[in-house]
Amino acid sequence: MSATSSAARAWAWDGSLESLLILADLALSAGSWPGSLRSPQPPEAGLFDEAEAGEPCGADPRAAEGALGRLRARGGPLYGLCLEAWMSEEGVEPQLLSLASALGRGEAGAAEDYARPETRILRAACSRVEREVHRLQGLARFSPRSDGLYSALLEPDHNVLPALLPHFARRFGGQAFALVDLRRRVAYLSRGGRIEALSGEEAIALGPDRSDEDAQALWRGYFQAIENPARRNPGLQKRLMPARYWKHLPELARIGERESV
Amino acid sequence: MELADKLALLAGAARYDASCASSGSSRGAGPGGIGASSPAGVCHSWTGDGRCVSLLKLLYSNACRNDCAYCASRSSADTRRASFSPEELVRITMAFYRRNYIEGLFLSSGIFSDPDIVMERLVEVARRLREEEGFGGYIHLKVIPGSSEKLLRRAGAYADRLSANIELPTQASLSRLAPQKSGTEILGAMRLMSEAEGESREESGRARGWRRAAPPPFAPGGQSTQLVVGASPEDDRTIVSLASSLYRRFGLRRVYYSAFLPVAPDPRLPPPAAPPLRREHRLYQADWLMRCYGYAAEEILGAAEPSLDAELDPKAAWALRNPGFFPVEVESAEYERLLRVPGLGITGARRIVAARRGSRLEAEDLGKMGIVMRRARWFLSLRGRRLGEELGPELLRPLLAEGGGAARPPSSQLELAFA
Repeated sequence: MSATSSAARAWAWDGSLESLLILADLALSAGSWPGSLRSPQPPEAGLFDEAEAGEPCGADPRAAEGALGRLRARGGPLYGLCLEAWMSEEGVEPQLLSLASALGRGEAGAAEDYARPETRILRAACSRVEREVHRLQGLARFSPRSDGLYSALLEPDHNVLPALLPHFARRFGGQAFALVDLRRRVAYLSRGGRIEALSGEEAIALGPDRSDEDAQALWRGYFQAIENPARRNPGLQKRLMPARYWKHLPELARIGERESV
Repeated sequence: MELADKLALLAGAARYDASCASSGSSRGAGPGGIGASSPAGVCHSWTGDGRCVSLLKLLYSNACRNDCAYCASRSSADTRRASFSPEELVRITMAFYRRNYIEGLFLSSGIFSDPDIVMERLVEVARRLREEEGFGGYIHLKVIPGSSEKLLRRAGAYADRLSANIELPTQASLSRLAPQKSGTEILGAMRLMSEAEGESREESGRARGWRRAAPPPFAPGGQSTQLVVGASPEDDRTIVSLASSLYRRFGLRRVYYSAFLPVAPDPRLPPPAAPPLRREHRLYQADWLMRCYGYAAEEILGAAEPSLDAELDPKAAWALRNPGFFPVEVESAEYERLLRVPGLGITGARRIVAARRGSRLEAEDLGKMGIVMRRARWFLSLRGRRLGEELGPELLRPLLAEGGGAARPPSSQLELAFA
């Protein structure tokens, strides 16, 4: 872990991506960080009063934008790692800040050096995120709603919707679409070139609102016909596509489950 | 015939084509259209045989005038025949694509008429998708050998990938099992595609030089082919060296190998048996070594070895035949040398190269870095010291064989016995 000047006070982090970017930028420019994170004080206790000079104090969007620019310009892979570390929800922020400090001290190549424990742990979490993003690019299943919107329900292990958005925006062209994360109760709606984030009931309400049985039946028929019975290997199928994703796949979900959606 | 029945029939007939890749191309939607493809490709599902479903893989028609012994759609087969219309294919493709079931369309066909007429139908489907639907997803078209160069060039303007299947490894086997097919014609189609690809690359280079918009590239995902393994008597060495020359001469992106599945008894075919899946797997491994690891065909199978080892993967087999190449030094060996170590893949070799710049590596770091030390230790040294005992090929072989359980170093008694 990074060498720090004396026993500096733990940095406050509110869990947001914006404030993580600010912290990573700070660690990068200082070449050090205190070595631990704490939750911020509740606002009524006076978050702004308590903030020390140079200590980030929550998710100020303008500060985050500045941090983002600097990370992209000087941080090499650090910006991408920040996003993935945050999406992973695995608590690897300390490893991220430790790596940012090393890069800030001029230890070029630290982000690729798997002999460093912080790189190894951080990268392992990030590659789980990348794998899930890539998987869901294929496994998200959309169906048309009565308002013409194409909507997909997902229950990802990691908070990957933000990484899926650019992929589907490019794929759908001008077609409006929504991604709904049932587990986190958040959704993104892409319409007319704009992206809107929703949460709670509003997010869930963006899910499919009618049956798409005709197209799904055609797809199931195709899926069954394309399998080669002489080569059956269900173990391989499960390994490549873990069963926890099957629920939202019309070709694999059981009929009862499908109709309850 | 109902659309659903037709879909099942013509997908069932297309399932013998192994290629389902949606990779190697990058394009966006046309005006008002939908769809994009990215170089890495995307898998949308996996069937019960463990194969990735990326494209909607269909035959335009399963009516065929050829009578190839190994093919389910051969003219003498007693099977229902049906054909799609271009409208139906466009409709299903778009409906599936919008729902993110597929990355695009793979369209092949039985030879129901003159090659040009069949090819024209396939091109027409692709044209409608691109021009009328503004479809930016992936399109793989099968090239019908014997169709005209003009049609082939039109196909390349719409498709991301084209393929002409070589089907069998030699002309002799083609003449016996697929008497209406000609190796010369198939290789001729490959040559035309490779030339058109080259011209298209030059043209877009020139256009860039003049800062002009480049014409649509010819099949930017390149061409692939497929051959059936086990329906004819050729050995692995013949197949591996054929694949190697296809990569070299025509710049193919992929050669697919398809284990022969008996579809009907035929005196020209070997007696029914389980498909040679292990052999197919070994051929894919050998192919991978040629494409990504810099092995020459002659290194994989020398003149004395007609077949790939069933128990050993071809990389381990090469390592055992070349003990003088090892140990490879972790601290200083070039990347290409590291790649030849069993248990070390592209990722592991890259990690070693990156990590040794920054840290002094210790043996226990390597396992943590994701290297399969169970296999690699016999072939590596660190600052001059071997990471595993020096064992001869006979002792190493069972440790590297697949399905041999956990490989453990031999006990000291064993060592004494062989000392």
